Amino acid sequence: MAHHQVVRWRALAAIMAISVVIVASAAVPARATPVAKASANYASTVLADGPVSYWRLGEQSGTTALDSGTGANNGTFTGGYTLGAAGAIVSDTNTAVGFNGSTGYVSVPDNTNLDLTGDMTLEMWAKPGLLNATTQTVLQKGTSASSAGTGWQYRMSINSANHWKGIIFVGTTSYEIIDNTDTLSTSRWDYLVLARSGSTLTFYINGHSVGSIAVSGATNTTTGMLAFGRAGGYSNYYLTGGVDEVAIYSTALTVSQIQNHFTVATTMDGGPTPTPTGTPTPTGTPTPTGTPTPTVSPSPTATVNPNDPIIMAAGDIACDANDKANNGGNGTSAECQEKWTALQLTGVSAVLPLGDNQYNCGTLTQFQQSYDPTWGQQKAITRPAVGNHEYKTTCGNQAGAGGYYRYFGAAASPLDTNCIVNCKGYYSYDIGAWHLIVLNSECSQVGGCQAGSPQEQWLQSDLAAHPAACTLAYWHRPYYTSGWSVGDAEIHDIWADLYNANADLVLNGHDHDYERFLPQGANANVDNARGIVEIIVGTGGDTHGGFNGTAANSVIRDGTTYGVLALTLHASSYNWQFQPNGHSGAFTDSGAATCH
Amino acid sequence: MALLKRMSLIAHRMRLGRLPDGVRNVRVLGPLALALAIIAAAAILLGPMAHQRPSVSVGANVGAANAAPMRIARADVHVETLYNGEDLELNMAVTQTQNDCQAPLNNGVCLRYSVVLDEQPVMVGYGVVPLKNVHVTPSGIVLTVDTSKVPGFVNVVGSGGLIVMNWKTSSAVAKTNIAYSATAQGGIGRYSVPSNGVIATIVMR
Repeated sequence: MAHHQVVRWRALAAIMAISVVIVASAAVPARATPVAKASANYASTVLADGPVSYWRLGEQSGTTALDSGTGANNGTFTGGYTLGAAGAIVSDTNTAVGFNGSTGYVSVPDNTNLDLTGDMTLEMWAKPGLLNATTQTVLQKGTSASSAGTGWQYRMSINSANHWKGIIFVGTTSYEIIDNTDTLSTSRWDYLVLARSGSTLTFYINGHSVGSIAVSGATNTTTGMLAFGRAGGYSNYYLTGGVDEVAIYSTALTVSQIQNHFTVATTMDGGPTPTPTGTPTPTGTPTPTGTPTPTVSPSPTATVNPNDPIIMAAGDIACDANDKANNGGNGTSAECQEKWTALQLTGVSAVLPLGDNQYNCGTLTQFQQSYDPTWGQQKAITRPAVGNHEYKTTCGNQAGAGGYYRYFGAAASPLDTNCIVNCKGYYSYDIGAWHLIVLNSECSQVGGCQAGSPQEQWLQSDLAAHPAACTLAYWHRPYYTSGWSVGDAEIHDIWADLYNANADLVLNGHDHDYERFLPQGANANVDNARGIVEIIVGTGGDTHGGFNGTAANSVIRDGTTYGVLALTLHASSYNWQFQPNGHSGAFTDSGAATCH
Repeated sequence: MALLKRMSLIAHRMRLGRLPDGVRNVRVLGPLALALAIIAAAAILLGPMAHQRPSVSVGANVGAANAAPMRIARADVHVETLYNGEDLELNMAVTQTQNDCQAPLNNGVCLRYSVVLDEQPVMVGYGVVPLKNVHVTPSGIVLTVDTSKVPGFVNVVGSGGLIVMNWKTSSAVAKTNIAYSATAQGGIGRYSVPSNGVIATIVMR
């Protein structure tokens, strides 16, 4: 099919999809038990806890930052700011504001209901865009520095050592809490809460207390403005970065309230997520990235239905039950965490294992002993991809990935009939408006991946037959990677086919880490209009790998955190979020993008 | 000998300006092409020994200033085998048109490699390798480099060492932007590529 025909079909499909959603919304009564979504839940959860003021900062135009609380404290976007930036809340199209670090901020005029002398809570999401060892203020109320401290009331900021810091001022005394252990990232939203309850001030980051101190006396009051992105009325300490969902309470939120807010914000279906019960201890050093958040961004006009399907994916999952680190199925802090990633697979339409689903050789016995009691609990909705370990024969596996095909049955290769060995392993299916394609990157097992090979010919036919608005493809071995596997050129022609058909997203495993790339063509060329975003999610539980430098166009990487990637598949866009499993590192990555 | 004849024919056509379809965009000077053909044939005839003759080099063809030859979009090798009873994985990639090395290519190539034994890395590194270490023939690529002696080469794990890899395709790499399956011989340090179970691919641009 010619490219312009594909475009036309896609446009038609997109219009039809949008129409269907609109018609369905009008014609179908509300479901009795709708699936709750974070997009609705986070705001309603915040409002239910009674903030004085609540600025969602999701405006797309104008200069007014609306106060959604009861305090009537509308703010004003001022100086160098950007509206419509990708927001902090999962599955929420409400956007955030970005500041330029020199002139941009939101000013909120003084109001006595913002003078919080006793119990209070400051709550917000912030993401630095630059970590340059200078103070950057994300929120502050007060006049200026010239008042010997009495002009300041409260503040949350990044200090000159690039750590989060929370302060309240009592007279000329500052009570401050600094999290000296945190590692800020320019690609991650952090959830900041500074709460005073009586004489105790506590600073929370991402739902966990990072310190409490005793305070004495009433917090200062002033006539100075409240500002987000600079130091209140003091024209200094500007923030380069984003701010989202700011709320101020005249009460002290409890720990459970704070953790509930964080859980709702970071869980795709608004339901419970395995929240770490203690401070996570990374097992390695996160790889820093200086690359800014991707250029893919949500379109203000993208159609989003609150009941859009959610899928979860990861590869490189289950240890051999006889592996010492399997530890009776509980794993260790460093390995064999399939039990904990499996617990994340709730409230989803499909589970996508990305290959190497069972170590070390994917025998049927190994699958039954380790994968089945964990990820296998979602077998009925599982759409697997096969990996190299499923084809290994060094530990008694049947050649041709017999263990894998026997375990998953027809779901693993629906194009074959009753196949249990040497099956195709590639197939496709639809979820909502999306077309999903599963490929077998063990190319030699299926006659190659090059142009003209049976799999590549099938792919071309499948793409032509399914001109969906949004297309996701997944397989095991990545084409682009910073990981040890260095990428596999066998995939080149398949990538080119997907690119030519305007596919949107590719998921891979193989490298035991998380990595996301800018939209690319088949030759590492960034193409924001038609390129494919690749995300490696080799974090299903087995082990962690490392990085070998930074590949071209890599946006973000982590090798410390096990977890799953959650995708919300809208009619013409998607949200992604990497969710940590709560038993390893605390890395996250989230965002949204439109289909093309 | 048939292959040698074919190389000579291609070189002859290059001199006459009548290139085969897939080679038309390889505007290599005639004499240079003849040399390339002879050396390629020699490399093929010598097989795995070719890499031991670094003085025989056609690397200049890869990026010569007065030519517009094909360039290496990507050539990689992946091996999974057993080494002393443990799982051994070798991975190596050479790129010339994309830069995964975080340093200026300076008309060289970006090399990345890893050796992982029982899921533990024993040799991992990346860096820019001078063009003189890369020999491109119509049906293959030969890389010979001691990464421990390349200035600026980053040895993430281990201290580097001799890497020799000889990619060979069954037919001439005549088209760009198409993946060609290849065989590979050579090794990374002490870890040799076995005779089977090897995934090797070449894509030119």
